[in-house]
Amino acid sequence: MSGLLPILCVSMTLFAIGVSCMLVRKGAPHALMGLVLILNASALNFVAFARLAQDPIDGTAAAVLVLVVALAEVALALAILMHLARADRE
Amino acid sequence: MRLQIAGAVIVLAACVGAGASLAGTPGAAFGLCAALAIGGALGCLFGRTPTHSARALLATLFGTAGLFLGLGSDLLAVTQLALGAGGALLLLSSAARQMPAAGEQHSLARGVASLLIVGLPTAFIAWRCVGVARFRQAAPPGPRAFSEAAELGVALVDPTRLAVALEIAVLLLAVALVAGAYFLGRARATRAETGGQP
Repeated sequence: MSGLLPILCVSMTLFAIGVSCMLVRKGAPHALMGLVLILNASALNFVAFARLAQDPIDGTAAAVLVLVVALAEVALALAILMHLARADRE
Repeated sequence: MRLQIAGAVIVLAACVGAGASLAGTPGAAFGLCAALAIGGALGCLFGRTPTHSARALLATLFGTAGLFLGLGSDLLAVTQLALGAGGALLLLSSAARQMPAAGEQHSLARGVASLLIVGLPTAFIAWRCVGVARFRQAAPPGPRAFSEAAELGVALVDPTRLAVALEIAVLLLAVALVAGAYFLGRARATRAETGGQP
């Protein structure tokens, strides 16, 4: 598929669902899943716009960094949340 | 449950068929990946338990990896599968089993309303972005045939390009690793003090 519009539609939908997931669902795992969806949408946008600008390397590198930082954030947030849940149980 | 699976298969087939009729085999692949990504995200939003949502998120990660592959970023697709599907999903599903339930009432109408409230402004912004992109360049290039992993590696260690960004990302990862190990060690020490009680 060539063109920006289909990719942008998918990315927009993922972003909207991710934000809704963070707003509507109360549990921490759902909020983190929403965060993963939002960051996936942003990575998709990075790659699509970089492809359009005929410089795919910068966009791909930015998307790789976004994914890595998102995973670090998810791992740290889960460690903190599990610690808090355990402290609550005590 | 069987009705839901049949509905999902019909929607998937419709997306593949629409993509194939519009742009041939690449269009069919795009339709399949887009349907997987969006369907998985919807399953993540409307999933009854965090474990169900984590399973639905797997479909989104696979679909997004396929979209990256279609855009020519094979390294990013592999990174997405290895880190996202392998690491984050394992973490999320294990945390969902260990953490207590939030006790929320699942509301379909609330989810749909929130989706509309967030989706309409996002659609407007995306429409404006497409307009600006069309103004800047009329004919977008297609994906390149070769892998960009080698060129990306050179760019990541080049001090004039992305070396600083890579260093910052590595620093953030190191901080996250140390903090995660600290919290886990603290929890283990607390458990040892209380005599093995959780």
